[in-house]
Amino acid sequence: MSLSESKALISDHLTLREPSQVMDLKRMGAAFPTRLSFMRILLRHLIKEKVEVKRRVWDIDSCGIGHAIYSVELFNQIYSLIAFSILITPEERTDRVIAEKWDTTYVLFDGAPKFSDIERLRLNVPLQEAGRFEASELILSRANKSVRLFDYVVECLSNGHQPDDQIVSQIGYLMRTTAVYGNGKFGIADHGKIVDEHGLKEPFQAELLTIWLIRGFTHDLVEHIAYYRNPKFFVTLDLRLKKYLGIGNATGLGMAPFLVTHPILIHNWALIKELALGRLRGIKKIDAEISKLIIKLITRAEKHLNQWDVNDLRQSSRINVLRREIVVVKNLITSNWLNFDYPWERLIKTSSCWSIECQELIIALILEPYGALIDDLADCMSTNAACNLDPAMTIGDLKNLLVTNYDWALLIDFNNPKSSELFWYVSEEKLEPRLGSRLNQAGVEKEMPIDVARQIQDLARTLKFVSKKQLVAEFLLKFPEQRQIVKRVQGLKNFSFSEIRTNLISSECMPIDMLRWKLAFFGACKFDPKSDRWTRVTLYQGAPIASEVQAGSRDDWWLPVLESLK
Amino acid sequence: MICSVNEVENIFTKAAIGAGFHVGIAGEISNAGIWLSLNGFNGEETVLKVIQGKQRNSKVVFDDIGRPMFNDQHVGLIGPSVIDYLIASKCSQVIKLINIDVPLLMVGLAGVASNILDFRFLIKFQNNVEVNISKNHFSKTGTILAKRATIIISIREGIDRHKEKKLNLKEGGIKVSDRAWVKLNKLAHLTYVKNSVASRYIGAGAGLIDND
Repeated sequence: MSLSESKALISDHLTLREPSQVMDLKRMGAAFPTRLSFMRILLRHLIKEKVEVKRRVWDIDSCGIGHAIYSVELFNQIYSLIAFSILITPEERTDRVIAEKWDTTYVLFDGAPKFSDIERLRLNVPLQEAGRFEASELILSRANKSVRLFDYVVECLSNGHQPDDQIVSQIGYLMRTTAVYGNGKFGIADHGKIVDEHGLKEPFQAELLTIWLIRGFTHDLVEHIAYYRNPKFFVTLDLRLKKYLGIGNATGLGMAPFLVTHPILIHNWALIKELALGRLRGIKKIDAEISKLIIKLITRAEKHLNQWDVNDLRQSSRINVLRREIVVVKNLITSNWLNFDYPWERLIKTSSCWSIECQELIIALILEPYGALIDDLADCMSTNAACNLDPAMTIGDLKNLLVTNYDWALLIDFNNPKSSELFWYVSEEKLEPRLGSRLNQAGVEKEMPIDVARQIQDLARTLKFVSKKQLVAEFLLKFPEQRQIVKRVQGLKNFSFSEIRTNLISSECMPIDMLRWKLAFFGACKFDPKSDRWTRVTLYQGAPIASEVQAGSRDDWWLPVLESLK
Repeated sequence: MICSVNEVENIFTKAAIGAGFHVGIAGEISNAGIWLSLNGFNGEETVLKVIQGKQRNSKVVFDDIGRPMFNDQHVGLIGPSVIDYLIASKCSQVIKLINIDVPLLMVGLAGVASNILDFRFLIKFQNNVEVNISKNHFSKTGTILAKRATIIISIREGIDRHKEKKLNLKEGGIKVSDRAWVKLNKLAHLTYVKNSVASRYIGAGAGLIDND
């Protein structure tokens, strides 16, 4: 979305929440998927086009080793998922990004691959980061079998019965992706090609198409192995379980710096969600159909929360609070209550006394029935805009921008050592982004420059003794080290949701909250934090499978549940 | 080898940071290098030359009344600011850069700026070669000097739409020489923190296995 489009949208005279509220990291860390999440957008495209997934090649042996190719045609472009499956030992299997072997590896290929492409990719795709790719490859990924579930499901199906619902619910996926690479990594196509030539303009559509296709492959693979284990008794996996089984994902710190280095993009995501909410808050009366749907969705949300179990103490206690609060919400929102004027405005105001998780859940809930009113906003979630420098700006104007837009950063007390205890860095090991303690870890001189708040204070200090009349061009010649942050301050002056309003190097910073916000925009659910730095999630749980998409299934899979369970 | 634009941009930036440039300047050098590569110049060699010409802790020199001295300067140090000055002057300035070490970078920097703003840059080299750069357009009257040279750079509003041509990124990336790529990667490597057991365990906040 361009700046002018962004301004045009805001001029709807809607009541929007303040950026200081929306972009507070604690609130970001309580985000839920919505119908504007990127997986939902993709599935709506697929369903609208009634896309057919064709299994072109299935060269997999009885143990599940070999390769398969699936193809889909979307917006007049053919995409092929090429999947390679190999045998690895339990010792070789780790879901950390530092792994070197994986059960399965994948590439999303632009068009239909030739024999020579497949042979080239057979040598490179299983190597992942150590391989080399071409612009005909759009996305690169890998996934490991769930140690807890994959073999169990094979065993069940081969013995003629379905896996236990309780076990399926606890895990939720047959395989877990450990990385999904796009945008030119290791020689694959640049993001620009995907947007310009393929029409996949909403964020992460090619990545999420890849994952959706991988999910289908995991269903096929588990059935294939089960069949060969015991052809006589084998049964296929029930459709309802296939639909429930998503793709797991382990997400670590790698996602966090992205939110700082793509400020205009995250502004768009946040703004669009707030605009959608703003449109709803202005609704005076709702019809009976919507009222019925909301009540049905609250019941589903309640069930979903009951099926969301994690070991993490912080998240577990938040889920417990949510479970109690959702009952209160359910009891409050009766048909009668909804009949009064401005029900959503009243609900948003009422929700302020509940937990932040509950407030954010309510927003996701009320957005859900309003596709006709808000789905058009999805077109504005991307951007190719970048922060540009305005060298003709005066220092006086720059100082004003700092005071107006960065008051949250200027208030932080950096004299307190805890305020800058952490530093972000890139490890030489697979270039994994990591967090270190300034007090006792090496590498601080190679700190990544994502400490926005501290840079803002440094800039403010430097500007203190500079004449207000001086131009930015003159200032930067003397202080070239300030170029990046000046560019950021100037470039973001009209993008009020672009900054995470938190000190990202404080000892109290919770990177997990950044991950959750981004993952919620992807459409992930069942956040299962394993520390303050990484989380497991499930993608596409409850999403239509290929045959349903082709049949034009309904886009109705927000907060999925396994109906048989409590 | 053929690299994606994103890969090249990433390595250019990291290599410049590894060599000691501030991150903002590193970004400008990288963008200029990409522009050069996409327009038929040897972007990676230019960036490498700029990076290797950097002297640690070097600073721009100012005269007695506070005017910057653009003579005999390192292009990585002054290049982005020269473009800033021209844009800020709203076309009223002409800047002469005497004995600049990698003049080609100025072409790249002007190219990037012209893509963002509706400005047209004119760069005159000491061998009388003229380079015209506007949004998506580039023309030159002869061979651009790759070595030290004196150049005069000026700016005008508006773009030369008649001669406009679209950049073609459909070829699938940027061809870079193995020699330069290895050197740039070595410099980029300087921005990475050495691996350690503590970093592996604590830095990512995850166990080493994390199977599920």
